[in-house]
Amino acid sequence: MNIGDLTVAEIGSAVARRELSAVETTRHALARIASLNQSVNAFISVFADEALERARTLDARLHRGEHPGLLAGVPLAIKDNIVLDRGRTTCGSRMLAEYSSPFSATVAERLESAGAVLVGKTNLDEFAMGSSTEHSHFGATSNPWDLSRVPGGSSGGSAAAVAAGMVPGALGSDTGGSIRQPASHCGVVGLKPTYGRVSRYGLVAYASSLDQIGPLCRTVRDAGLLLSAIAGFDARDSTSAEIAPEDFTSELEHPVKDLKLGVPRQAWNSANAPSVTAALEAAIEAYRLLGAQIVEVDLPHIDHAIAAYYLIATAEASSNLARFDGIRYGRRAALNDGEGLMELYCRSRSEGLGPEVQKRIMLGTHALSSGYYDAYYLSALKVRRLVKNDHDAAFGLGGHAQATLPGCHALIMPAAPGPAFKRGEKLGDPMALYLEDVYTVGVNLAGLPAITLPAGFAVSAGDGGVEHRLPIGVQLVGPALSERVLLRIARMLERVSTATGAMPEPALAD
Amino acid sequence: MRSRRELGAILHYVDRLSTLDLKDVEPLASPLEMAGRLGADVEGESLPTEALLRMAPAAAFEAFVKVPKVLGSAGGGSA
Repeated sequence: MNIGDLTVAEIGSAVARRELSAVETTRHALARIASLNQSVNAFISVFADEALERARTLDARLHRGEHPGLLAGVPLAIKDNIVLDRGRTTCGSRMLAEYSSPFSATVAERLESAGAVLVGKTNLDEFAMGSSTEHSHFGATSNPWDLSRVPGGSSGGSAAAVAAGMVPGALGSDTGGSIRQPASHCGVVGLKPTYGRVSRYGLVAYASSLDQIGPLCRTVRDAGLLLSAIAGFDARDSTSAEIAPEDFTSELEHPVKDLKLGVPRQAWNSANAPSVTAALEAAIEAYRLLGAQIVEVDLPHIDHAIAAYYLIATAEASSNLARFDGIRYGRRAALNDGEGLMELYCRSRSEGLGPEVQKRIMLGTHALSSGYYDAYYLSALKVRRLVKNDHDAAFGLGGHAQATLPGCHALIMPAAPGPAFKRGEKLGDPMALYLEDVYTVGVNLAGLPAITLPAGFAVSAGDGGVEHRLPIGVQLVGPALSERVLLRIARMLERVSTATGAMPEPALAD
Repeated sequence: MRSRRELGAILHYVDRLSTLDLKDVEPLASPLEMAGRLGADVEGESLPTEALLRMAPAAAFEAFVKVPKVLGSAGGGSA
């Protein structure tokens, strides 16, 4: 069997059945990374020796008849804003280029308890601020489907690593779409859990009321498996919801009976690329053929959700990133004679933080400043309430139910307004990148679970007349804590979609 | 300069919030709508000092993070 074609679930069972060893799977991942990372730049750091050491330990345990966990022998990567107690955690920033964490994030601990082999840390937009993975101190990541294009962001490294077959799964983080949008651009599955479902302990905070960690992988089943491994209450995260552990894959193959799918009017935005409209229409038609009832719903405040998001997220970021001051950790600037604390703060932050991060900190500080707090931050929090109410109404919840429309099981909409764009294309206009998030930020504001899965392709004329297929994903959004049903709904589409399982051109497959 | 232009464009964009009637809307700061859970006052382990000092840009006496003069400094310190 070609290890590169195997999913997380398949590797897990092959290793458990002793058909594959953890060392074999790890070696394969490391070899793929070594041959492809030069051109894709998905990884900031790779732990070859530690990973192989760990794989050998796992194989020894398996040999003794032990069961090291559901993910035993599965090589995985994690986004470099999630701390690990070995190697570096850089957040894609010069500020933390040399930083080593003394502890591991809860999600990393849980993956390792389940037997996974963490092979490296993936590239990201600095401090998770971006939608293209062009804003990293360690260089841009390229989309494996077309190396002149972005993989999306901010979890672009994780998405690209999975799409290029380097690892079967990776963790990312999603604050305004940073798992779901790169998943769409890279043709992989990306899941953002309900806020509070997965512990944020060890995730370097960008916006504390919006951030969630989630999996990027190749199948809906894998997303469920990885979520099962990392989800659950954590006393070390005060925003962790007190819910019992769940197996999110237990009824995965059972279609949802009498499925009611809501399509927001706003999903048919005139700014959408034709390929996005086509993929959405095809997905809706597929659900219709499976017996689903399709209803139109209204999310009237989507137009204001981006504005609200960029005030709330930047406000929270200005607070969260205040800790990077050159004092206790991170980059400390050199001082000249006679200079003191103020110079140290300003110079360390000016040197250590990239322009996009500085921009957002300034925006957020301004939004919270007296005289502007009401007009900006408070207004944004009120719009957040309206966005949540809109979604609740569509799901028939919270006493806001639109009387004529019993609740939908899920909403369906694009994950991004177009396919992956060219590197540099959106850097000129400040709002251009931000508008990439039009279909994703509302979900974070409302704290809901959402999944992107491959749904179609766009075709682009590349350089030298070579055509590239570019993946287009479709996004499903569910009510809070509905991941189990959401995954079943996603599985229904995955089973019939021709986009399922596609990998980039031969240049990147072996 | 470019940052001013970019920040100006973003502030212009977010001004659209002022077109909404938000008078009677309750703000939502977190999806969980909870004040934050308090931890039990139980003794536990802290990160070892040695690990913390290893991260510090400058350390002294194996116990302190070394910083520039805070009190009575001419160039800074008055926050």
